[in-house]
Amino acid sequence: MIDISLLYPAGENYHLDSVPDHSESLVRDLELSILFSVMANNDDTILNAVRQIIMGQRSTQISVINFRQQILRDFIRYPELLSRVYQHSCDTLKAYHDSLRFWLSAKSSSRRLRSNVDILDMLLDQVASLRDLGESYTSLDADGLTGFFKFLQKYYDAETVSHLRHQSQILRMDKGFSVSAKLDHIGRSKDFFLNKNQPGNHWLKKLLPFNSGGEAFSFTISQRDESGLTALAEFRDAALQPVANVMDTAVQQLLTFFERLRNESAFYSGALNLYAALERRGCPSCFPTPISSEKPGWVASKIYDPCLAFSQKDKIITNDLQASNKKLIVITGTNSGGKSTFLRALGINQLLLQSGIVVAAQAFSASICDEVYTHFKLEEDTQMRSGKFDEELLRMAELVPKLKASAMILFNESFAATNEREGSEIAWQICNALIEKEMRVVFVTHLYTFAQHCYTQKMSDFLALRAMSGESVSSKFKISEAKPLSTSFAKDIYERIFPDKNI
Amino acid sequence: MLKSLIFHRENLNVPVNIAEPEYFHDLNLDQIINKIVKSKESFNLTEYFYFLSQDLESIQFRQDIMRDMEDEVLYNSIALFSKELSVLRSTLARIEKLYYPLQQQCSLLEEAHHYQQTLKNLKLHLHDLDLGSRGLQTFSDELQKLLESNFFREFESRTSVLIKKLESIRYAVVVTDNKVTVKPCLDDDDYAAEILHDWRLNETLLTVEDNGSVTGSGYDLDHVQARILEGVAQLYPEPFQELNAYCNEYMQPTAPKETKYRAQSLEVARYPFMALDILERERELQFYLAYLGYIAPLKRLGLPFSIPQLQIGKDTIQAEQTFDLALAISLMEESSRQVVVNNIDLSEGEKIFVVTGPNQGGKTTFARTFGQIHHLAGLGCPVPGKNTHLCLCDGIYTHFSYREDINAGHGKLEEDLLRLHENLKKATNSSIFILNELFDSTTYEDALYLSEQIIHKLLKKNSLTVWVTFIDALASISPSVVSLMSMVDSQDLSKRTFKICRKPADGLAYALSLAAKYGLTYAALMDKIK
Repeated sequence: MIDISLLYPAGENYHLDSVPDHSESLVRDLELSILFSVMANNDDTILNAVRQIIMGQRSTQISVINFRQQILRDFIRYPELLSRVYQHSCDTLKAYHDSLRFWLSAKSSSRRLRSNVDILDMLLDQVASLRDLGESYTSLDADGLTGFFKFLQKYYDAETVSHLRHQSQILRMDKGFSVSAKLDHIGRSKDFFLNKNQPGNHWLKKLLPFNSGGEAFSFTISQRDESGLTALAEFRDAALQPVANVMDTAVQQLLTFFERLRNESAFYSGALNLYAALERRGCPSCFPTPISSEKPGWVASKIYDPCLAFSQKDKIITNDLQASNKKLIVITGTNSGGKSTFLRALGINQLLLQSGIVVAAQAFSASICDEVYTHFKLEEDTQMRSGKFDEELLRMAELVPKLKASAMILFNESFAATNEREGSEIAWQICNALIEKEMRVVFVTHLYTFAQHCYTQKMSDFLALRAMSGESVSSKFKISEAKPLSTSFAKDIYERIFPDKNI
Repeated sequence: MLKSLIFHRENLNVPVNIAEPEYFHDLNLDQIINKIVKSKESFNLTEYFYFLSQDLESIQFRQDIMRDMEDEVLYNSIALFSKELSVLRSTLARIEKLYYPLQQQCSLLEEAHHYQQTLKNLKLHLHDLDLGSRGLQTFSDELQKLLESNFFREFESRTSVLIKKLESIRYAVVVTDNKVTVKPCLDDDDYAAEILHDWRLNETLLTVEDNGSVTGSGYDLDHVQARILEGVAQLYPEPFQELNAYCNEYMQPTAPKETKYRAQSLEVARYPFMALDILERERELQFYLAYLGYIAPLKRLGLPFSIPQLQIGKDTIQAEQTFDLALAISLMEESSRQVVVNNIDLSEGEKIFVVTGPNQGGKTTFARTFGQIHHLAGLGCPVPGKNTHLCLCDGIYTHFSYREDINAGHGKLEEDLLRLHENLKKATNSSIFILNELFDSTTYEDALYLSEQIIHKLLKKNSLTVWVTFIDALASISPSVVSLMSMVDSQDLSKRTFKICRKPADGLAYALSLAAKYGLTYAALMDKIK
């Protein structure tokens, strides 16, 4: 096992493909595809890596987040180290895939064994040169990076590498092979053991002559007996399959190592791209401070939605937020007042923080959350003639089994597809339960009864924010602490969600 | 002789080659039964699912077996037993075609062992369980007798001795160019293990493909493998001579045997070592396996099933949370949605359900449900719903008018009436009528007039009836008539709940009841979230 990773200090095994099943709605609701494409900077490998790691490999451990932040800081200092590691792993994988073209017959284990021997030669070379790369960087600070190179120097030193090469040479089986076997339930040979004493193994042959050992039964397949030759080839494949499998695993292990390295270095390249892009755009960025989930809350200065920054040219509006020891934030206020943008900013930056990279704010600290979930009102959906409210509840009900303490749930205009009183009642019952179960909730809403209810409860862990309407240019899109205002826009929204009056 | 698992008395039989009952199509029972029977084609079970026995004792005999088999452990052991026998059948068929006698013999030995294990495992499982049904108790006892017979015991011990002898042979094969040498084995270590260690490989990640046997798919030996086998037989002659004698005694197929039912599954009784009784019981058990297997995914979804209390000429009919089985299956398979359940409840003196209300509201489904559960109950099967009290019916008569027929005209009406007349003649107070949108194609006055005539005839017959209609007046025609309505959403009138109720919806705030339905009230959430 090569259990070294640039994402986890203890080298955990993880699957890049495994992302929680709500990821799709997270990407849609937070408009993350913009973020991913900026990070990828037209490199599909990076795109995939940042997407999968941000969606599936965020950490809830402060130590892991710090581990990654350290590595990213080193890579910001030595960007060429990052690009060499990334390029090296990409090149290795490409060389492997190119070599595949020459052995189409993957079914034949004897051929597979041969190809594996060649591929292993190549992979061992690549490991060795990666190991040597570490020697040119002596002043790395990150434990993750120094540990990585130490690992290679320890387990893939020159002596080990040459022993492994020698072993793979024996397995070329140029002079035939010797196995031991048993009969299976229908009389075929099975349970093949590869004998150490192989026909081509000259120095061994001298010690243990091959035709000694008394009684034997031999037969020869004639060169003209085609079906016999095929059968012999099949037997050879079956007999060599166990060892071919072993060598498959050896190849697979090194490939897995390079794939992981490629993905992880791609992820850091994406983080570096994000950092550079924000700088070019003149937006602040910082390494955030993760806080234990036992102290729920957010503190931010000049926080903003990076996706909005990249998708439009206007001056970016930032907000400050003082919400230590808060679990519920309810944001009210006029339409196009920047409520949703602010909600997204909180969501995206939480994801970035727990991914271990830089965030879109001048300063940001937030408590670690188990997961981020979104419940956003759907854009008009032509397929849904009715049952919108039903659909909202259904989506919420689907989230419920996943929810755990310290999860963060972002609601955007949820439960507005029914009348205001009923919507408020349901929103209140849901939020109340989530808060008591130690979750963090940010709720953008027009449900005045709900917002007012939260406010009058005078809960200490509640914060009321309001988007200011365009009273002055400077306050536009600003979100600030203020109690909810009663206005009658609920009707507008309701009619927008239900455009056809016939339902 | 083992007893039947379908009838409580030896002299009762299911008629052979009976046709599909007329009402099957209208009630979508054809969908249900075809699927059940198709899953077990080689057992030829169709008649068991068509024939409504009038013998209450036989039905209760089956119900008891069903009740036993509802226990998952028992179900699984019987399913496993049957699966093993299926494998055995197909393997024996393949072995017959094998070319090399040595291989054939090795393979037969293996199958004999497989057969013995299968019977013994079933016996062990049955022994561990508390069987409530007379049918399965007898089966278990008879199985035990068979296993304790001298024939079986000797057969078993000879088999296992031979297997051990053959298994212990270990030999080496050396291939150099085209020459293959078989000789006694010298080396007991696996060099591959050493490689595994040196490359720091994780053994659990090793891709194991078909355990190193040749090509995997084929059962036939090629001649390299066959000659290696010959070589092994020459190096170790004694066990192979013994194998030859063993096969002559147990494994030579005879001419096909006469069986009571024609089913492919019974043909394998030609082998002297196979017990025909066991194969016959195995076939009968498919009736239970097939039905319970069919409803199992619905049960897992939480849909209730129960074994109904059946009485002849019963006055109250009850089924809580019942549903259309065919619809439930297709909803689950096509959209993984769950079917809406409804209560059926007829008290003493009530005989006819008149179902009105908006279209596509579940009325037809309700009517089908009523028919389906009575047919399934008559087979001895568990039916959709809880607390089911049903009547043992002597016939189900359906009259469905499909909307596509709307332009069929007078010919159609006449035909309908003729058939009604015919059926009313046959019907008794133990019969069931399911009428759906009858007389839809006539004018309102005509439909009203005809319906009134018919409903009075049905009342007189005292036949249980479900009548789906748009004629509200029928609902209040007699105290024996129960009025039901398909319900809509109180807030969103375009929305169907698929509930069929005696009363229109109450004034409950729809939103909150909806929230409760999704488990999104404060109390429900506090309970659900860990």
